Formats: sequence, structure tokens, C-alpha cells
Amino acid sequence: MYNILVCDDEKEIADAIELYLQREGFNILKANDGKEALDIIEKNVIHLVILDIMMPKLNGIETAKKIREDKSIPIIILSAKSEDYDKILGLNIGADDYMTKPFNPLELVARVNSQIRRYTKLGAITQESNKDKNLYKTGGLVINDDTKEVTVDGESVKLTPTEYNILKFLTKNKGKVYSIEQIYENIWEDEAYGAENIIAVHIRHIREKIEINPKEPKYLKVIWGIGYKVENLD
Amino acid sequence: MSNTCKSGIKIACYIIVPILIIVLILSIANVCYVYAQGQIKDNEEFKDSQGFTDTYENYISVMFNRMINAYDEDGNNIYYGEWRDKQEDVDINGQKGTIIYVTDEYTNFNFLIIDNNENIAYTNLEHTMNTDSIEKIKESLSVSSNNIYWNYDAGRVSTNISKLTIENIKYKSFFEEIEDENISYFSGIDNDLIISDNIKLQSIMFNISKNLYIPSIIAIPISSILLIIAIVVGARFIGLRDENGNVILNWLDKQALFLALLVLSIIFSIGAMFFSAITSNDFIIIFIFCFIGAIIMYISAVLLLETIVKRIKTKTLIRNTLIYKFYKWLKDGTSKTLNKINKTYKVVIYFILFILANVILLQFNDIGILLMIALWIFVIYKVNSITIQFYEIKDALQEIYNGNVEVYLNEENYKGDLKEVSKYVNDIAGGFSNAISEQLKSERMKTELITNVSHDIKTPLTSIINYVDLLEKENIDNENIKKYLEIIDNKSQKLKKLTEDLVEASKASSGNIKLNIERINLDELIKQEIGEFEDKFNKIGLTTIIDIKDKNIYINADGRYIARVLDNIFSNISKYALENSRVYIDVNKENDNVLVTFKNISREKLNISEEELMQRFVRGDESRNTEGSGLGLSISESLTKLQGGEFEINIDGDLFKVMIIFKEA
Repeated sequence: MYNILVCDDEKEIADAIELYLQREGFNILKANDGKEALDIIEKNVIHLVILDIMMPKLNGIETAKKIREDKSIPIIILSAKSEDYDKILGLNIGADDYMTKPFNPLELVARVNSQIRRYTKLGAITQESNKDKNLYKTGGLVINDDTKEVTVDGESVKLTPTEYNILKFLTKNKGKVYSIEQIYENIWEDEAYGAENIIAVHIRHIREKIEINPKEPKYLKVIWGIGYKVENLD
Repeated sequence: MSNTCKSGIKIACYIIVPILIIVLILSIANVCYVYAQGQIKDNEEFKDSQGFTDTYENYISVMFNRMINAYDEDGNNIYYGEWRDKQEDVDINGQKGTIIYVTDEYTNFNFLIIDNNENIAYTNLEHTMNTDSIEKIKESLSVSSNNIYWNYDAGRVSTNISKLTIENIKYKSFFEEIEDENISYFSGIDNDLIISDNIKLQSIMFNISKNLYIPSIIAIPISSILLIIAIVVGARFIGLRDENGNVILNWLDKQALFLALLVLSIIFSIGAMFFSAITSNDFIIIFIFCFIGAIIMYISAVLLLETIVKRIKTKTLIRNTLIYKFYKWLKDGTSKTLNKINKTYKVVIYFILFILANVILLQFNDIGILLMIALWIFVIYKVNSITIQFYEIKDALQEIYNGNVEVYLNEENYKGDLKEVSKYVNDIAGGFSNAISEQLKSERMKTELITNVSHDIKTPLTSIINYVDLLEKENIDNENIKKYLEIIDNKSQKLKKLTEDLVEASKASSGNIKLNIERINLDELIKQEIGEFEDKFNKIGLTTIIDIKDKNIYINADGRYIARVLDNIFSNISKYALENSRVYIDVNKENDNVLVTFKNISREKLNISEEELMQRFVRGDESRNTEGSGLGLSISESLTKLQGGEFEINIDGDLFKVMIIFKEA
């Protein structure tokens, strides 16, 4: 049983989050402001924190900074502020994820699950992976070329062979950007004749399978007008 | 301090200055005089002073020379021939002799010179020989000279002038002569100094000097300091200003410099005339004439100083000269005449003048040719500089036309009409620039307001969306409740989208977005975007037909925002296009421009103009009830413009066409 702290000055929102997460089997603690949140973290074993930014007494940014002073537990910021500037600020001061309000409950649950898995289990897999040469990984995305298995934060993902090949190629060369044509030529080892249009569709499908929010991908990113890449998260 | 007060002080200074100058000069003169006399001892009397001694000695020798030596070949005295009033017989040394009475110049110095060889005596004392003898004269000489005397008789000097004893006499040669000629010399001065002569003057001077020596030593520094103060203060108050800060000018100041100088020199000459008009010998009259003359001259000098200072202060020293006025009159007259003539003819006239000048110059030989070359260089230089100025102004106008309103022309660099034009250009640019920055500011404030309001809307909206969701998950049997819940869900989602789009639209239209411009491959971009929408298109049976002739067409844009533009366009297509129709995407190059065209058939009738469709919150009438905020096209247009592109919509019946135009990179 994992303990999750939900910190929001809007009581109803905290209550709703509680309802969603309880169904997933988490134990929820609630705080109305940053000070209260720090108190609870002090007194209890907390595995994950969901933080609002605009709160009385101590705002979310300051609270996250205080938590990061001595704790490495995952922090998800959940705020009505949707500017790029706010997101960058939140992630830079040590938050692990940033979601905007109004949020999709399913997405929130998925992100919480993902963070909890990474926080509690993934360390062991990383150790293991170093021995296996046919293992490609970035962040929580792992491709085992021996078993043709793809996992995201330990969760298995089912891909078609083409999708698998595309993702494997990009993950093998993570951090590099490839155009549709280049991807086609590398995978089919053939000249692209226009049939490569389908690559873009495949990639969207892959995103829908491996990403929590395909529109804001974490692993497989679209570089508009240039190509695609798998983010190097290690 | 009032102006009356200031002019009072100034006039006082003008009066004090000459007085101080006189005091200073006199003091210096006095001190110098005293020094020349040798230090005057406190109790020293006039007869003991060096000055007196010198004068007295001088008298003795001069008189001697005049009486004894100054005879021409005929035996007539050169000096006294005319003044020998009386010549009488007299008994000299017991022998028959002659005494000559000399009515000398009016002097206190009395003498009796006896030539013992010739038995001739000379004297300037009034006497009557009938009753008087030589002895009598000697007697009266000593009576009248009751204090000061100098006698030489039989080789002995007897005197009460301490510095004229035999040892102290300077003119030794003269003295030897007296001895040689066997002359007795008796002289003396009436101590009262009745007659105003050299000696009297000297005695006055001596006494003044003696009494005023200490005061004049003190007066030199004091009067110098006062003089400087008076000059400085007086000069400060020349050219007083009225309440408006204008220098007050009198009649003289307003005249041309030449006229003013003429008037002043007349006044000065009148002063000078007083000096030359002196005919009398009377000291008082001389003094009065000199005094009046000096005052008049002084006044004219002061007026000259004043008017020049005022002219400098008002910067009219040069401008108020006849030559300048003439020049101005000539110039104004010429330019007025020229202005009246049509501007076109002006150039013609200049040209004719130029030709004429050439023809005239050709009449002179070498110098004419040289001057002509100089004229040509001048004309070419002028034409060239006007052309340069013209093109500078043209460039500036072009800049403004292109939207760069930060244009500034330095008006000083332009001449004549072009100067005026440059001023107008600056004013226009400044006006545009102000209007634009004002507009930007208000747009930015609007964006901030919208952003903040959107935060406040989002918080309650979150609760609504979440609790609707939670409600939907409850076991509800009533179909109506389910239906109503769906409506609430739809509307709250729409509200969410609307809030987000509103912020984006306001940011895009105010340009409040940081762009990251890159080289974007259009082929790649369109394929990527189609990849995103493929499934949605398939769902309603839309087929995309892409026509890209060249795979290597690049534009400069921000990938994220250009994708957002295409996203909006495709999203529109997926929402409003007729099912089972075709979507055409063409990429064409036209000169330097890249045109991307999206064409689709609208599902509903489009009874709206392109302009209206582009306005925020406007959608095709019949589609009002579908999802979407109605901001999509407006956002796309703003974002495209921000990235330097153009965004156009074209409606042709049911054919809906969007065109994006970018410069090829």
C-alpha cells in the first residue's frame, strides 16, 4: 500500500483525486496548503506528492523546493497554470511531472502509476539491463530485442512488427532526429517511393501505445518539419 | 532686485569709476613723486627739500646765464632785450655803473646780479634808483627774502638753504664761472610765496605730498579694489532683461551698428571740441572746459560699451549692421521672387543662371576658366548631395512602408525643401511608432488579463469536469440523467477548450510568443501532420491527395507553431468537411514564395464571407453547434503572421480553401 499526498487548496479537487486514486488501491493523505503538506511529509512515509501551485501560506513551487531539500519522492505538479514558463519552472525545481487543470482523471492515474513504478521498482531492472546487450532503453522505456518485448515503466506494451522496428531503430539511436525518409530507408533498407507516408501514422500509433498523453509525448517526440526522435532520458 | 535699482547701481558705478581712476592715478603719482624727492622726513620743510633745492639752483643758474652769458654779437641780451624796462645809472663799488631792471616772468625768485668787472647790475626787484642805491636793493632783497636766501659775494656763499652750501652745489662749472667773471650774486625768495609760480606750485605739491603720502599709499590698493568691483558690478548690469527675459534696448541699441557708431563719434567729437576751444589762460575756465569735455567723451565711451555689450547679448552685433541688413534684404527679396515663380521654373532659372555664369566666365581668360571649373565642381557637388539626400529620404519612406517605423532622419543633414520633407518623414514615423507601441502595450495587458482570468476559470472547471466524470461512473438507471450528464460533460469540455484557445488567441494576436525559428521541411511537416490526422480522416471517409513537386522545399518557421497552424486547419477539415470527399493539399513555388493550399468541400452551406470567418468567435453559421471555440482560424492567422507568413481563406461555393504563403528559405 503506497501513501500519496494530495495538496490542493480547493478541497473538492483534492477529494475527487482521492476518489480516483483510492480505486487504484492507494492510501491518500490530504493537505490544504504547502505548510500542511510539509508537516504530513515530516510525520508520515509518503511515496508520491501531487502539488497545486497557487496555494495560500506556501505555494507549490516553494513546497516542492523544501521537499527536494531532503527527499527524492516523486512530485507531480497539478496546476491551472499552463504556460510553458510555469512548466519549465516546475520541472526545474525538481518536480518529476507537470499536469495542467482541468485534467483527465485517467491520465492522472496513469502518471501516478508510472511515477510509483519508477520510484519503487525500476532500480533493479536497470542493474540487470547492463548485462544484456540486446536491451535498448531510455528512461522507463525498455526494449528487449531477444524477447521482442517492450515495457514502459515495467508495464508491457503490445506493438505490431513495423511499430516495433521503428521504435527499436529510434531507441537504438536515441537523441538523434530522423526524417520519415531516413526511417523508411533504415528499416526497409530500400528507397522510399512515397509509400513511406505510412511511417507518420505508425509513429502516432506507437505514441498512443507507449505515451500516457500522446499529445505531450515523453519518449517519442515529433520535431515538426524535421523528423522524429526518441528522447535520451538517461 | 528691480531693474530701476540695477540701473541705479550701474550709473553709480559709471560715476565712481572715473573718480576712482583719478584717485588711483593721483595716488600713484604722489607716491612716485615722493620717491623722486627722496624720502620726505616728517619735520622736513619745503626749503630743505631736494625738489626745492634743485629748482632754486636751477633758477640761480638760469638767471645768471640769461643776464651774463646770453648776449648776441651786437651786445643785446637774447632773452631780456625786450624786457629791459629801465636802465639807470648807479653807483657800484663806488664807481659809476648801470643797473638794468628786468621785468622777468612772474616769479617769487628775486635776484641782484652785479658784474663787478663791467659795473653792471641786474635785478628783477622793483625799485627807484633815485632814492635807492644798490645797498637798498640788497636790503630789500633780504627783507623780502626774510626766510630763504642765497648769496655769493667775494668768493663766499651765505645761505640758509641747507643743500645749497658751497659743498653741495651741483653746477660746479657755473659756480666757477661766477668766480671767473667776478660777479656778486644775491637772491632770495619771499617766504610767503605770493606769486603763483613754479616754486609756489612745488611748495603746494610738497605739502600735499607730505600730508597725503600715507593716505595715498593706503588709497592705491583700496581704490584698485573698488575700481575692479565697480567695473565688475557695472558690467554685470549692462543689458538688463525685462520680465520676459528680453534685453531692454534703447533707441541707440536698435540702430544699425554704423549709425550708432556715427552718433557716438559725434558726441565724442563735441567733447573733444571743448578741449580745443580753450583760449583763456584762466585756470578755472580751463578746468571747467576740460571737465565738461571729459565728461562728454566719457559718456560717449560708456554708451559705446553698453551698446556693444547689449548687441552681443542679443546676438545682433553682426545682424544689426548695415551690410548684413543689405545682404538680408537682397537674399529675402531674391528668395521671395523665386518662391513666387513656379517650382518647375525655379530649376529652369537656376539652369539658365548657370549657363549665363559659364558664358560670362568664358569672357575672361585663365581666371575665368579656373572660376568656371570651380563653379562646375560646386554645381556637381550640390546636385550630388541633393541626390544623396533624396535617396536617403526615399529609403526612409520605403522602410516605413515596409513596416519599420523606427526610422529617423537627422534634419540637420538636409537643406531647403528636403529639410522640410525629412521633418515630415520623422513626424510620420514617430506617429506610427507611438501608435504601434501603444497598441502593443494594450494588447499585452489584455493577454495578461485573459491569462489570469483563465486560471481562475480553470479551477472550478476542474471540479465540474471531475465530478461529472465521477457521476457518470455511478450506477444510474435513469436514462434521462445519463443524457443530461453527457450534455454537461460536453459543455464543460467545450468550456475547457474555449478557455485554452482564448489564451492562445490573445497571445498569438498580441505577438506575446517567443519564437524559435528553424529551417522547416514542408514535405516532412505535411506528412507528419497527416500522420496525426489519418485516423480521424479515415473515420469520415476523407481521402487526402497531396501534390508536392519538390521534396526539398524549406521555410523558416517555428516548428511547434507552424504545426499548430496545420493542426488547426486539419482539425477544421476533420470537423467541417463533407464525408467521403477528398482533401487536396498542394505545395507550389512561386518566385521566392512557397504556397501551401488546402482544399476541401464543406459539409454545410457556407453563407459567410472570408473576412467574417477569420474574425474571432465566428464559424460557419450552420456549424455553430459543433465542438470547437471558433478561434482556430484566427489563431492560425495570427501565428502564421507572427512567423512572417501570410494566411488566406477563400470560399468558392462549397469549396473551402486555405492558403499559407511563406518565403522560401
